[in-house]
Amino acid sequence: MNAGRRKDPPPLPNAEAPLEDLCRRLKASDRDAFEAVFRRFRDDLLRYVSAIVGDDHTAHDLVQDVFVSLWGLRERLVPTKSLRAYLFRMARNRAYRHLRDERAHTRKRAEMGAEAEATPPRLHTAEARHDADLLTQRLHGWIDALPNRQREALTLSRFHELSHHEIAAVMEISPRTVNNHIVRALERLKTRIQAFEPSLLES
Amino acid sequence: MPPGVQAQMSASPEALRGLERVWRLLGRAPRRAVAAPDTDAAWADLARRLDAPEADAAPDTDAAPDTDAAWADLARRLDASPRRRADRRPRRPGRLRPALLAPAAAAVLLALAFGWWSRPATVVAPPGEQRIVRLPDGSTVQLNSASRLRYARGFRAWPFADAERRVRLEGEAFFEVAHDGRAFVVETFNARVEVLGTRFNVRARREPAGPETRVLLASGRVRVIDSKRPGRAILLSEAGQAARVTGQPSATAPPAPRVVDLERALAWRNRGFTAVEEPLSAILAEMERRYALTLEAEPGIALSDSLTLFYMRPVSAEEVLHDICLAENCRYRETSRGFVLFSPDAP
Repeated sequence: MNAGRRKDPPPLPNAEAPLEDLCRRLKASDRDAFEAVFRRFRDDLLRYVSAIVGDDHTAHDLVQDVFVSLWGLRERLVPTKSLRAYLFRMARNRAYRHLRDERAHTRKRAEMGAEAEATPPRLHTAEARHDADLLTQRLHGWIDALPNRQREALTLSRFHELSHHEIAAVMEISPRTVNNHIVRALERLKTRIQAFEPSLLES
Repeated sequence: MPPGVQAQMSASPEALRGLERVWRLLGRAPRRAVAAPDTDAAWADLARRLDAPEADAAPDTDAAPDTDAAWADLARRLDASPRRRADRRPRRPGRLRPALLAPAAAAVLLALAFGWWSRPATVVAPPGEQRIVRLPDGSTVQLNSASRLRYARGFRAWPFADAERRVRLEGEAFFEVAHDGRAFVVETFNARVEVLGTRFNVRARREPAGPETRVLLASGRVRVIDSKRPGRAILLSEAGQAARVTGQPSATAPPAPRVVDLERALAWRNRGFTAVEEPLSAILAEMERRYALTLEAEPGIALSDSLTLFYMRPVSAEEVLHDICLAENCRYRETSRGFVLFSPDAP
């Protein structure tokens, strides 16, 4: 957080450049553009992947892999399509592939008492404790308890600020279905919040 | 709120308002912190991976070493020229000679540059998080929760080759020191640890019950020196050997190294939690740092009781508390910022 080097970030004039321009320059093998893309999306992807795999260190490794493959695929990028959606989709595939491998792995070790790992811990129990705020904890708990597709659509929309079209591309479903998922998720959360603390929904 | 949701709910404004409030409420929830190397370190790592297969593909990443090398060269030249001249003719006091102005200005610049350079870099792992730091010499440091590492940022390229690599640690960290011929020194509030290339853990915690620095060797050799008694050094040369510096003047000879179970002592690196014969007060303090919460104990809890706990895998604060309470016959309940331990027998 307070890494000394971070006080003097390397000058990246294009840090706020439109994504499409960045994507075009990345396609042309521009390393600065690649670094700008990395710095812009890394934290977001880290949170996203960490929520799927349930482990920060693994998430870090997976996100690094995603960027290595992005660099490898740069020449095949289509600048007019959302780079954000592309990255999240790569991250998602990478994360689920990791979970699948992990599950296959733990099944082999099952008799050694490793079953606890077989269900990927979506909720960071330790982390959830950090949020001293009870409401935040509850909210995260309720979001975790949503059906998978609903939770995924809602999270991408609310916490990663992807558009419906981008989410559709990430989840490989239609934008209309994305919308349905999000509406259902919000309705479900509303019911939970009303039962817990109706006053939160007044104002 | 996404326009699609609004469109779908346009038939019933009341329901739409409800969903809008949920949407806003979600926006107020703080994001979960992710414990991973910071972005700069991650980028450095990524850049290295990209360069590995085609080392010549990226001349731009060589910028930093180039600057350093140029600076070292410049510093050598600035140092050398005025000194030779001063040797030949002794300086006459009272007269400002233009010929000396340039070297003087250069010296001032040098001093300023050195001042900037030696400004220490600080890395902090806040309570509840860990950090991995890559030092300029290629050594890596994993910082445990609530720990701070400071080092002079230039310590790789400073031209004096015999300078030691020195870092200052408050808290706990695991070091993997790259061998580069110079000594690597970890300073804590009461001890000095000198090494060449090796892997070891340093824990410098100022617990009220007993402030101490503990050093545990994973491989290589290290020398642990009590800052107040520099003559008192403990040499650790076998994996698993541990030394502690308490600053207590009791013993005349340095305590012999103890041998501990490496895997257990380093469980924190995998987000496990271990304590060997630690007083409950110290365990609770460590948990507060690890999980970023506040733990209180009501009267009736024996804080000086020694406990031993092993969790080799990631474990939640509540699991640890549960087991502590089993051993100590106490209970715990949640508070707004953590937990409070209480005795069931208390009135």
